[in-house]
Amino acid sequence: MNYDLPPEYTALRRMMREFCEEEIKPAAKRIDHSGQVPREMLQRLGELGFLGVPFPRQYGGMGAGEIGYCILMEELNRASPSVATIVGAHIGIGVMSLYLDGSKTLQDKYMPDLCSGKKICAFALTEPNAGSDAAAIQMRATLEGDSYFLDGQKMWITNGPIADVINVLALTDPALGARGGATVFAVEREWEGYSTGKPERKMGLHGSPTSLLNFDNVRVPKENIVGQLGLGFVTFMKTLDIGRVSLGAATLGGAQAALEACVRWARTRSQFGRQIAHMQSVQFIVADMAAEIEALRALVYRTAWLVDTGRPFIKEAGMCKLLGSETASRCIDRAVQIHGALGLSRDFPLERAFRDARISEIFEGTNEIQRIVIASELMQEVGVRLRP
Amino acid sequence: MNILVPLKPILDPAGMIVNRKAGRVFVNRENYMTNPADKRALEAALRIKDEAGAGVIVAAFGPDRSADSLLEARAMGADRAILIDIPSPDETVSVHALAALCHHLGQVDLVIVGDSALDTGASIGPRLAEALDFAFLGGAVQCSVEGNAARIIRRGDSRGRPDRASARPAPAATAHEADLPAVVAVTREGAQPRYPHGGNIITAYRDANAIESLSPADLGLSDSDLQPVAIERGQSFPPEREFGKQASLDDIASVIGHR
Repeated sequence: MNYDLPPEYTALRRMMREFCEEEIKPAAKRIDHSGQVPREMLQRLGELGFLGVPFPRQYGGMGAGEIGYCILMEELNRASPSVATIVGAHIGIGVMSLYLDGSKTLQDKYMPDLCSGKKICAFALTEPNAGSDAAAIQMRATLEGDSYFLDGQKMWITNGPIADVINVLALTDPALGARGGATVFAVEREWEGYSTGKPERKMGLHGSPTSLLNFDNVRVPKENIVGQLGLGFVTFMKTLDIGRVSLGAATLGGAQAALEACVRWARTRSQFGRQIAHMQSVQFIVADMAAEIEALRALVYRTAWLVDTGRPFIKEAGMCKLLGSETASRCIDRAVQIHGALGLSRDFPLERAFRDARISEIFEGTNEIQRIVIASELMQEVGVRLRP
Repeated sequence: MNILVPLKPILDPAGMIVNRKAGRVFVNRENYMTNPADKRALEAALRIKDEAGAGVIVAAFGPDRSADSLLEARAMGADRAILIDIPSPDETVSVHALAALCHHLGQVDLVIVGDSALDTGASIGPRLAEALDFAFLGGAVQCSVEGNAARIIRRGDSRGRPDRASARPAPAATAHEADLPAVVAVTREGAQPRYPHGGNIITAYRDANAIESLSPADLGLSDSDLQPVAIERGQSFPPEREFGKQASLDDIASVIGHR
């Protein structure tokens, strides 16, 4: 057994850490207040290969696999969850669906611009009446001649307001429904009939824009079908399966940042005549945090390794998202407690972390859905197939 | 044109705590990093490569700890990386070996070094220039090659005092030139080193031939070349510095009056 990260990944982490510490962390507060991540920052991420970490070099990616991508998400989220969320939606589900199932032509057409940051990607599944029940989508795609016409609405789409390429799931055969009758289309922002709603006002992740998307008879050429006609639901579910690993990595970074803040604070803050580091009440909290974070780290990187070595990973990926989001929320909550009033002050980063963390238990499949995923994998191992 | 940049891996000071009372330096985390001034020297070389075209060769002493510095340099854009198989040489031995490396490589027109190491030593530049019979330009914050000359910008001492009323005046700077071949020493105020593209890191680390190794024998170094001139007998702290005296305006006036 070998737990050493190969030296190239250690070097990659060193570079990413340095970049995040110097270029992103100092801007995190401004990003939260202004409600946006400067496009130049995303471009800079693209120039360094950050926007295509898991994809091959030939598409302008970094060729660093799922492990490299997890390192990126951990480091980004440690510095700014808003930036991490934009990048995660872009790579982890947006470009990933193109990469997993897209045709060579489609990949050649979009991936170089997407990996270099010239264009930003979004993944559009959720609808007003289809959240956890993703198969309940109603958006229609009707074939006329050589093109499909998309009609409907998507909601809560991360990167919605800034995305240039949107992978969207629509029903091509309503009789069959999502399973067998839904197809993924790659839509470009400029196409007629496509528009986005106002950015949503959220509790956290202020710099990561979310909006609804309107499709008013948007003409999409047949070539822009991602994967196979009718099998779009499979493409999207596959994408979400893999996305959970890096999401777990992101929560790891958030929890780690909270722990580091606590350890620093325990050293600087004195009460009752000594550093609070000497108090067991504080020691127990940081010890619990450290133990949970270490367990999460082991799970996340082992799962990334399962992905990179081509082994089954769906159960573990669900665990990454479930354990990760709950660990991060718990750790940040405790960190706020240790910091006292400062933990809730808008002038300190923990208040922001507290607001930013909550969504991880909800987006990309609520934690309840993750439990169902894990349970159905477990049951399948003993021959019981759970109905979706 | 070829540019040689020697790199020195040093212990990351962020992982150390100096404890005067115990008379020791405690190393909490043993992380190595490329000496900051050396990294700026590499950036200066890469900028010349970008603008005028040049082969950039980096060199470090090994076998331990140097691989990361060399591979990072390859990822940033260095064309060759050479590991000289001499473990932790002092500056005298370093100068012998680097001079021998220049002869071994043949056409080295410019050597860019960091003007000082964070841990010890600040004399590689001038000593190497002397050994190679190259011109020496120290204290560079910027370096370029124009025609057959190296040109540097050196920051002057008269850094304008910060003044809230007006914009901070630009620090006085002077330009200096020397015919090639030359040795240039870049300070820690040189241009910010670039970040390598992540893909180049992966490529450099996975390339088994990214680093070339040379032994002292390959460089034609004799045993006497490898003899350090100084022997370390131990380490101690410099004496504690005392606070200066706070002078009143009258004191200052009287000092000025004496002149």
